[in-house]
Amino acid sequence: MLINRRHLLHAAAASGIYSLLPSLTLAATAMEKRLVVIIQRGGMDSLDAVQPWGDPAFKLLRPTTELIAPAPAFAVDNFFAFNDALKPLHPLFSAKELSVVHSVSTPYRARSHFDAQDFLERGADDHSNLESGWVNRLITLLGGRKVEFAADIGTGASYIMRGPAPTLNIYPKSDLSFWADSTQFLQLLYQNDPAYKPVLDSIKATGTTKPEKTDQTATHEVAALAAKMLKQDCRIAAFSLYGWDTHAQQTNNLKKSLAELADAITTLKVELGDVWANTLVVVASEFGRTAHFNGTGGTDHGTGGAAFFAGGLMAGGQGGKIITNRWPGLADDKLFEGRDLNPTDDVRRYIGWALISLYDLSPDKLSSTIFPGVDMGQQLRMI
Amino acid sequence: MSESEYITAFRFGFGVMPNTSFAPERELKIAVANDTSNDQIITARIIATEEQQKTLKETGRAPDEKKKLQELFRSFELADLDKEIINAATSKAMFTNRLAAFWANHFSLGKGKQILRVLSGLYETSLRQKIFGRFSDLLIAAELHPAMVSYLNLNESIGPNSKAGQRSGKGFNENLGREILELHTLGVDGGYVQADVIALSKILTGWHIPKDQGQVQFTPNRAEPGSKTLLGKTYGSEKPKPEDAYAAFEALAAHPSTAKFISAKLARHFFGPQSESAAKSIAAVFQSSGGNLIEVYQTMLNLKEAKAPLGAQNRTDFEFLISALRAAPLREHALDEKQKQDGTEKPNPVTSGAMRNLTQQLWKAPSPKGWPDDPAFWISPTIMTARLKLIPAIVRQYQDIEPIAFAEAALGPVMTPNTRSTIKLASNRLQSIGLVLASPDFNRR
Repeated sequence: MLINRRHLLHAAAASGIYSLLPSLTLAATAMEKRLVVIIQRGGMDSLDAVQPWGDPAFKLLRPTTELIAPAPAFAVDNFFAFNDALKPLHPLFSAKELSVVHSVSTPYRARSHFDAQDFLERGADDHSNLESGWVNRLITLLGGRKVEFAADIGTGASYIMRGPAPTLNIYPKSDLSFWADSTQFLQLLYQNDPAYKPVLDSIKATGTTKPEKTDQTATHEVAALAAKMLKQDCRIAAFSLYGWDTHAQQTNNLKKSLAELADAITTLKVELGDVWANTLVVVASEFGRTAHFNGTGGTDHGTGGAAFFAGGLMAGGQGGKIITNRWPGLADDKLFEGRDLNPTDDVRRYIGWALISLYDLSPDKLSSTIFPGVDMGQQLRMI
Repeated sequence: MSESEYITAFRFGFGVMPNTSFAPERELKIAVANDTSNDQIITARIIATEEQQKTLKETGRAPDEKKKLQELFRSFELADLDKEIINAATSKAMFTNRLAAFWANHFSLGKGKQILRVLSGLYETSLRQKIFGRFSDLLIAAELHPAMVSYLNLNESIGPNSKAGQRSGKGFNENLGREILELHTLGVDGGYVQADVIALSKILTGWHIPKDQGQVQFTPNRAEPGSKTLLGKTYGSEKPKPEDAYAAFEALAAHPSTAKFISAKLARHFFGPQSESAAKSIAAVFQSSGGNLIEVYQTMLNLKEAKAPLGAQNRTDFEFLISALRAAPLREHALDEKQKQDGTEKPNPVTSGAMRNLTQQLWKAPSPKGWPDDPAFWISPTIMTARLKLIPAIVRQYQDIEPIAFAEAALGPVMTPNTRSTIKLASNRLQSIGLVLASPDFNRR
């Protein structure tokens, strides 16, 4: 079965390739570019996060909500306005270090969180015979270029990182002083069990004490830890944000999650310092939500959504824009299956063009290896 | 004890406990549904919460009242966690506790809703009363439990054409309806479409927790009138009745996709990811017995996979904690001692306090899908570093034991030569015992 073969791949990789990696020390690296991938698990309501006030149908869509016309400061262009919980991101947008791609999705069209997340992280549908995440395949593709390592920060085992290339899984939560002088015994205990070997590398990488955290500060910690790793040898980091599945009382609940997203991105910028100029941050969710509010002040699982692109590198490309291939419209007959924002483009295309510029890849290589089945369409200079 | 007894205790229980035998077959024979209902406790807790929330509102969110509400959430939450852990760590009925954990994770609650802090523990207690009966009864107990009704937003869901819907302009949401089909019964590939999600969501309207009642009730005025077609069968009429939802639950429970989906999950949990043939055998019994869960468990225990070597699965954090607490005699009051800090009682460091520092937050899965049954997940560095951090606290609660004797008792014939030689090398007694708990042998099942 699927998982077990993946598990074996993990194991095989850990025993072979991992042991060849340098331990986590500061070393000059050839590759300066950083990539951060943030997955918003639960399905972000893109219409509430980045609101299309320019579409006359929008005002009529959600008559039961407390949505109010945005203050001019957050009307980011003539058509769209940020939810005011994204206010902290406005300076980035003005500095062209942030853009949004709207009315996009993966080609997945059913509405299961979990299948949709798998698609987003695998980078392809489940008939592709791929059992690895796209970041993992990217690491393999970049193999010769000194990506010292990539880190999966959080509860671990994200699909996006799965696969034969070695990755590190860390979390800001370890006090290992008890083991301090017995690391050698843990080494002995785990060295012959490939599945456990990565535990040792993780201990070497962090090993500090962190007190218990609330969700909000946990997100901050995770973003700060990602930045810390990226300032050292790590070149790719991924983590997840939760709290997007807003079936009821969306207005307040979504604000909390958006505030966390804004905090995560600004924390990355602050903590990365100079490195921010060489950083690309991709933020995507498994799907958008229904265009109409449901009966309980929320939205149900939908299709078209939005993705955020941030980082100093954006200033050289599409930064400071809300990009849509074609705004699909919000009148009932324009909605996907009469209910969801209609995706007019494949979100993988935008991530793909960004990766092509970031790593100087060929479009063919990208569409065959990283995002099988994607139609890359016209060239787009994302960064 | 023989190797096969160790295998059974690891696979279906929480490993080996000194002076305690493990007889899963016998647990099934004497399994009588514990029908001491906890409905009254549930009602009392919901009403107490509602009242405190009301007081908070009336006092303009006075800090004192806010603190009282937080304390109410915290005290129930910690008390339930402690009770769950102490029960599992001391009970003889290990298989029963493993099954309860399986079902609570199948019908998973998650984080996000404050009210779940007072209901999650009771939710599992309610499920325990049904895990030796028919699957359909378990299904109904889960879906119409106040905890689930709150968690997946059924409480706010109203039929738009019901009297209440017409009056308020409110309507329904698809949250619980979808997850029942996708996660609790048929499975995502089980053969339903969007229209079925909507139909089930409508069938479920009417069920909610009325103010001051503290329980889930059916209010016809909130239920969507008219017939709804779910998987080809129609339910309901112009006069909605509680039986409409019951009939739909029965049909979902009897659907062949449900037998297949549930059996695959059971097989995966107990026998690992490569267990298609076990899943088939279980599904056949599930279907032919009409979801008789005792027969299902009996089948599992008798499969050849039950005797296979360990290692196809790894212990969850909860299983790790319980197994560690059972592996050696504990000091007196190790499980119920509480320390105070700034006047507040701190969670006990090896019960609720331990669980809170592991990755798996009991009853607070990141999503309705519950914690994964993916063996790789449970030994990821994040998981293992949290366990390594916890181990010293547990080892300090063990009565004086010799590391080698401890290892032989806890792991015996399932200990690998590498673990045996490593723990002998350690110079420090506590660390040596800790290494046993940290070993791959102790973390797999």
